[in-house]
Amino acid sequence: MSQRIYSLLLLTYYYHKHSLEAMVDAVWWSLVSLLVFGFMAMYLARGSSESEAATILVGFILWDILRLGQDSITLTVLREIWSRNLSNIFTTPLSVKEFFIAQMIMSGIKTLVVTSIMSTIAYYLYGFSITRLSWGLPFYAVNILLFSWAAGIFVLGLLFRFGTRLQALVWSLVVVLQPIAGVFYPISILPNFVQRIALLFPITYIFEASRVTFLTGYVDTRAIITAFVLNALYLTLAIWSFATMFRKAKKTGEFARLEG
Amino acid sequence: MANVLYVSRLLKSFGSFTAVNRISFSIGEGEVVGFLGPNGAGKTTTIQMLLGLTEPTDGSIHYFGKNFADHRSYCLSRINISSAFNTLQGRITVYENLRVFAGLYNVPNPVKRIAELSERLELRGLLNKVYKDLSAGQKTRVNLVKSLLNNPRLLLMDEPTASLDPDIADKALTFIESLRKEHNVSILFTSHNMNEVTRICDRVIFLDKGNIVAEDTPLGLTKLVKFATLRLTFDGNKKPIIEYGAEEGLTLHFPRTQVVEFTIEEQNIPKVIFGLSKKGVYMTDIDTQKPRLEQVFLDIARGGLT
Repeated sequence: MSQRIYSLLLLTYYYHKHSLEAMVDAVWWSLVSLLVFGFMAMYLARGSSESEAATILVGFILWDILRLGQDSITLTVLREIWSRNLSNIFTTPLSVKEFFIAQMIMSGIKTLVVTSIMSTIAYYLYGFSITRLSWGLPFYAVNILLFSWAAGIFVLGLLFRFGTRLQALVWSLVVVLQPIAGVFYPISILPNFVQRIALLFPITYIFEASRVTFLTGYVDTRAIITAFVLNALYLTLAIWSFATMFRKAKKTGEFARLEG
Repeated sequence: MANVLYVSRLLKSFGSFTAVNRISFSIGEGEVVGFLGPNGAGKTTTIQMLLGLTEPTDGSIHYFGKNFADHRSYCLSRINISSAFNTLQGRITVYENLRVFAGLYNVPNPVKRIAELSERLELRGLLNKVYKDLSAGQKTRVNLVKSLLNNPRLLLMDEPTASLDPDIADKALTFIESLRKEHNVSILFTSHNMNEVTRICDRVIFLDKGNIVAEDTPLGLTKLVKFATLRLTFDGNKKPIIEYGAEEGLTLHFPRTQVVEFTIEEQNIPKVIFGLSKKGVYMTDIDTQKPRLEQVFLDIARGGLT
């Protein structure tokens, strides 16, 4: 592994070692949400089948991958901006490609660790096993992660281009998709035109397919392939938009002014 | 002397505003060049372009003969910056920060390198402290260590001694001087402390409103200021001095009863002394205060030299 990529991973590791809020960001929200959704699922199980109620937990765990994956990319950068250290990092020989590879590796590790912890807690607290997604699980998880990277890269481009006044997007951009992407309920209950919009996003196919797998054991390979294709498109668009906005930010001087 | 940096017709415009107006300059191997100018002169924008943080509108930057735009990684691995205005990651320790940057610069044997530099800049005791808990002066020293990790051939120093106490600032300057002497490092040095600039710079570039308005040795630049201050201590009545001052149009200032000060063109000093003697003024002491770099800076900032 490139020494520079390793150094960025080291920076994130050191930061988490010293920062309680980073640990809170990573684990606390996931844990609290797991408790809420877990008990809600138990409550709903009284009125419907236990399995159907448990799909809420499937949605929650996969959604958490999206949240963690995107936050991991964007928050790392925000923390360096707040510390006035980003310009130091970008005046080293580090390339943008190495920078993103490091962010993606860190995002993957963080997501794997937190999701494993949450899945284990869900198993012991609610008897819920994410392994019921069988061989579809890694494909669902990777697709959600790919989309989180696309969202993270896009938000970073906006941050570099327009400055920290847009930092609220770090937490709020993907949340917009939560009501329409079929995270906790099938998109069939949405109005027709919203369903059509929902199908533009790869995560919709994954959330829909994961629910079916959880209830029936059937893994919808077509949905997985469609999600991969859409993710490839979204990642390409995200990288292109980042490159365009980064170049523009260097031209307007906004990138150099990011740290105030 | 080979150029480590060559800047050619560098232009940066933001809409209709020109921050840097087609400036050209170079820095030779082992040369220390002061980069001065009032606020808004274009220094920061130039430094940002030299570091690749801002893209020039036109013109070129070459490091070690290579075009920066085409060889970014090669160039950045051989230069570094120490700025009083950037900080490192505040939440982690000094050692951890330095370890990260040593890796980003691909420094071989980083542990040894960090130990060597920390020893020289008296930072050993701070290595395990969290960066945000350091004083401003300590942070500046850590930034200096960070800037030396990759053994740079060119160092950009943006007010490196700001917030250092005089003793540590002097040590830092001595260290910078030794860097040049022992390792032939070239330095682009910005500071508002003209004594420091006079002490360590071989050459000074003055920037104003995006243009280079003067470029010379510190001594050569002071010669641009034609005026000197004459301070005379005299015996007896000050009336003849006041009369002579009125005749010659001098603005006199009497800081003490028997002392007069005024500013005149350097070439007129003998004439004035002779004229006062003729008026019967008996001078017991004559002190000429020659212009310093500070005066050049003030004159440029106030539009006097441009």
